[in-house]
Amino acid sequence: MILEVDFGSEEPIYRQIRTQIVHGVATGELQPGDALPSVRVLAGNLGVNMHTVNKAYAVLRDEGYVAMLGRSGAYIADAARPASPARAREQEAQIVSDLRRLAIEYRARGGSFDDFVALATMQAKSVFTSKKGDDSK
Amino acid sequence: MSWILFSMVLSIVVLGGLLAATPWLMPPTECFTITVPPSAQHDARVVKLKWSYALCVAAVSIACAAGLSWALISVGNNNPTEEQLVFLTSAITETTLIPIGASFILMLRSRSQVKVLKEQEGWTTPTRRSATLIGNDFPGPLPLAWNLLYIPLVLGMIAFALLSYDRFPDQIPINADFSGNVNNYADKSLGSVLFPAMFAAFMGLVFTFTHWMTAISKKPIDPAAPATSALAYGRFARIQSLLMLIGGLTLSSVVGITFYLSALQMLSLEASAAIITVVALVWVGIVIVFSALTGQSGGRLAAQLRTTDEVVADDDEHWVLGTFYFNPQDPSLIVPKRFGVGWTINHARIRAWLLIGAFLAFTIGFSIFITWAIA
Repeated sequence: MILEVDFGSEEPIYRQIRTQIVHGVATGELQPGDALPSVRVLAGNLGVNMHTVNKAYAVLRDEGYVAMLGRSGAYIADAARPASPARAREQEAQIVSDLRRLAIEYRARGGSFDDFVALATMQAKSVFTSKKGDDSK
Repeated sequence: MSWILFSMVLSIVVLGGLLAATPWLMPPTECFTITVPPSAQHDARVVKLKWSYALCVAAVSIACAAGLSWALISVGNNNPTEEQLVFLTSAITETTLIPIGASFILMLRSRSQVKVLKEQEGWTTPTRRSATLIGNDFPGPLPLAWNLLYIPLVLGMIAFALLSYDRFPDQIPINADFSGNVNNYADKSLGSVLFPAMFAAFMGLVFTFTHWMTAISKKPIDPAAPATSALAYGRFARIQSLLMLIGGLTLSSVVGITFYLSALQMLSLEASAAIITVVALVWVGIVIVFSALTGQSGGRLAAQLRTTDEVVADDDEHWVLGTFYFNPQDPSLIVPKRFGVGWTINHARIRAWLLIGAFLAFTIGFSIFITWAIA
């Protein structure tokens, strides 16, 4: 899969890397057991600091998407394998709060309930039905 | 004029041709080491700059080739004196270095003009992005394990040398002058008989090291065309690593076979030298042809496949004089060259300097070792 970072974006680079790898896992472009490049290789190819990639991998590991073996081996972890039950509840709560925030923002701009649900359904459909190789966001 | 010398003249012409063609071999977003949108490559002023660079480099190279021919003819066929040999050696060195120096100076001149055009035309990019491919579907250089092929080659040469030890004469010819008269012999010893095996082992290590450097190189992905630029670079790296592997194995084998044949007096030293020179030149010719076909980092293929004129990455500030990559933020040790076909180091990394130092120390160490082993 293609991983791209935008140095002009307000989103920190480690978050950009993290989000795209999660996207790759969601669409099946990255399968459990797939090797990720070592920290040095990924940092070199992207032209970013090694600490940035280290941080992205650490976040992915804590979220349960990536398993780290040794100093440089990073692999996509088994699906639905949260680091701990507490962690899983935390992730669920995070998603619920994100959805709530989006709904509030949509309503504040004068959007209707039906339109919000339609938009959410459309996005969910595009994510849950996209296959390996489909990079639409 | 011995035709080995003629081939030296030919190699200066070929080198000059590659240097002159360089502006057309670079990736579509690079023009005289400056980042530009691909459409700028067809701007009339840029095209003019490329042609004037190419014609100047070609003229200098042809002048150097002519100068070397004149030097060789003036020395003539007869046994050259010590003085004439010094003259020939310096003529060969100078006529090789002058086109390289001219290309560098002319590149710098064109570079500053492209910089001005870039300012005037607003070819700058507001965004800074970078991209890479992850997963295993990434083309790249051949696996390093292919270099294990040197092991049977070296072992075969050792076995042959030991089994035929009694058949070698007491004096093994190792050097001849320009006209083919043997002027240096080595006494038969394990060291001198095993020379080809040591040479093949040395070549194996040097070529494996070079291959490894290409394997750890930064993969230059164009964020505006990530998949096609990755494909183009991958094909380029694969072809270059394949050519290095074939070249290293062939040269080691040919040096070994001709050494044994001339030691066993089945082949004259001059014929051996001629065969080695031809093989080396043919190999260099093949490398140059493939470099011209693919372009630097697969630039020519990348140019064909690129569909947009967008530029989203610009790292010009890290290229000192367009030639020396200096980026302390980039952990890469090896990066593709900015002007020319091949790779260079990230000069901001001490580890990269250590790699080059280790390589030089190994090469010099081997030369001293081989002189000691043969004597």
